[in-house]
Amino acid sequence: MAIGLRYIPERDEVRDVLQDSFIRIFTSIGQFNYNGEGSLKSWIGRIVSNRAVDYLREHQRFMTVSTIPDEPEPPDEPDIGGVPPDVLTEMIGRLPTNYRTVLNLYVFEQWPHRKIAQLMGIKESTSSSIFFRARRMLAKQIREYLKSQET
Amino acid sequence: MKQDKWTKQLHDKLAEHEMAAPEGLWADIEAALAQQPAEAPHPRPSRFVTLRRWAAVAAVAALTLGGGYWWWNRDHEPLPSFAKKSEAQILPSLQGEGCPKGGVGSVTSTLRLTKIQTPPPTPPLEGRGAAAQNHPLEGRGADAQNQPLEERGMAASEHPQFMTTATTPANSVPDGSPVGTSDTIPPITPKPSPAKRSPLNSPGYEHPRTKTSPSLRTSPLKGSPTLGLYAMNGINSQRSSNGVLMAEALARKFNDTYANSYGATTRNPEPIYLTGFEERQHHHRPISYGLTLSYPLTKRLSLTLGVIYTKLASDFTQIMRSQKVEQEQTLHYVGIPIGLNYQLWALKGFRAYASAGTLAYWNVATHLVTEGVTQELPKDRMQWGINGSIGAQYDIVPLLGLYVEPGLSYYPDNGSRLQNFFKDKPWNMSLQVGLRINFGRNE
Repeated sequence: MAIGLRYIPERDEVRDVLQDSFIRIFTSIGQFNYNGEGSLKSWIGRIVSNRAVDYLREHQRFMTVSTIPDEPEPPDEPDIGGVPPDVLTEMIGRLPTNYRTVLNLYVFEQWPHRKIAQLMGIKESTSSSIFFRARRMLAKQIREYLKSQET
Repeated sequence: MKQDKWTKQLHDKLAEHEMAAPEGLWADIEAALAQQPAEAPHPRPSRFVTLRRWAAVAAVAALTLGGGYWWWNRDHEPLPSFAKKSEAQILPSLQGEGCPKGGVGSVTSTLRLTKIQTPPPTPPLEGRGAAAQNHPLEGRGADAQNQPLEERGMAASEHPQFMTTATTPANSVPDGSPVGTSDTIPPITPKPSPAKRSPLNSPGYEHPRTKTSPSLRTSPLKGSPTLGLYAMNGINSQRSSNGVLMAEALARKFNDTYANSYGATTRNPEPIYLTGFEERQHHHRPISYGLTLSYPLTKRLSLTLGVIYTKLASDFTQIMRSQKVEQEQTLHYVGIPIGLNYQLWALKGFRAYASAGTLAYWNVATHLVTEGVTQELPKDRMQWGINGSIGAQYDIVPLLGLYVEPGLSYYPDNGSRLQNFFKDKPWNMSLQVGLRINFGRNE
């Protein structure tokens, strides 16, 4: 559920994605290869994230722009230790769809930008730029959250 | 892919984070799974599309075969009518010159004289001019035309070497009496006369298979059209393994940090490869099936046009430290090859040839499975290719030949993002094996 919500903030839609994902898991379990401890969890996680990305593509949530101005300098990120995971997930869910997808694939699925670009039909440099924009927007939300907690 | 501290912190914070599934989700999944077998019998649209494509390929094949059959018949049908017409046209003219009713066999023999190249030396023939002695055919100019038909018939029948076809009736074979030994020339009669020397054994006899009559050849300047069915595959598969580069922006930051930390005066311009990350790809050997129709331009040169189906299968493995993602990609192409084929050498049933051409491929279907989950994959762009090959063919029967054709192909980059065999191995060797139907070679 947490994985799905990182890609799609709307809970009703995530529910559909989860349902589709588990049907695929159960019907294609024979194709799973055990590669050590944690591999099943990892496989299930990948199916959920793949299905979420497919869902976003099917519903044309991705932006059609091919280039985004480059962001050469990474933002000054705040410490995220004091932000609860639920809140952090919600913050990621508030990012624009493209930003959210690139950030999820890069940070949590650990895909290289070349592969993300191939999946989303954008340039590799665009994927990199989107990631830095997403990172800056997320950092801004975290700063605001931490500031509100202080007051 | 090396992530910086903040990104790693974000990853660790949420990687193990779990949230309760919505209420009723498991019940819905169970219900959906229970419906799965009921939904299975319904034909999927993709299967319809696949069937439609195969139907299109079958239609093209049927059209080509039908066209080839018509072509074959077109080349052969005129032959009997031409022969009949020739005889019908010539017979009355000869009969008008006083040909007896029973002299048809002699007329046929006379007609076959056109096939003789050089008659062997013969004793002088009495009653014929010198020109007639040197040139049996042309020599029948002024002198020969004035001679009675019986004499001309005798001239043909007295020289068995002029009997060039087995169609000459036996009753036209002369008795073989020595030329010039008698003052009287025996008239031609339809009655069978005992032949002392068979025309088949005579020195000037030419077998129809060794010396084809011009009237039996479809075209003296061209070869024969062919229809080929073949299977082809690449000789080698392709394996490669690449490191994964750090994202450009991250690499810039890394270089900045490196320069600041170590007081370097210049930033490291080299690309940064991530440790523990690797991309492996394995392109299987391409497999093709094709149908070609070859049209002769000259006796040795022919134009070849056809349709070809090619399947490209690839496996991709992405290793990200302890994680491994496996993808299986299958691409289906239909192509139109066009080329020229030049016969280098031929002996009896064997022949060697060289061919060169170009082809255009269209990607008609794609299939991508990532970790057991089917995903969408956009189709490839049109792919051009050029190829050259040498081949050897053996005609099992005159109508059907078996051939083997090793070749070299080149596929330029079509600019798409899709990774396939053509991109990673633009130059590749292939081996083609097939059957070729030789139209117009039914002797």
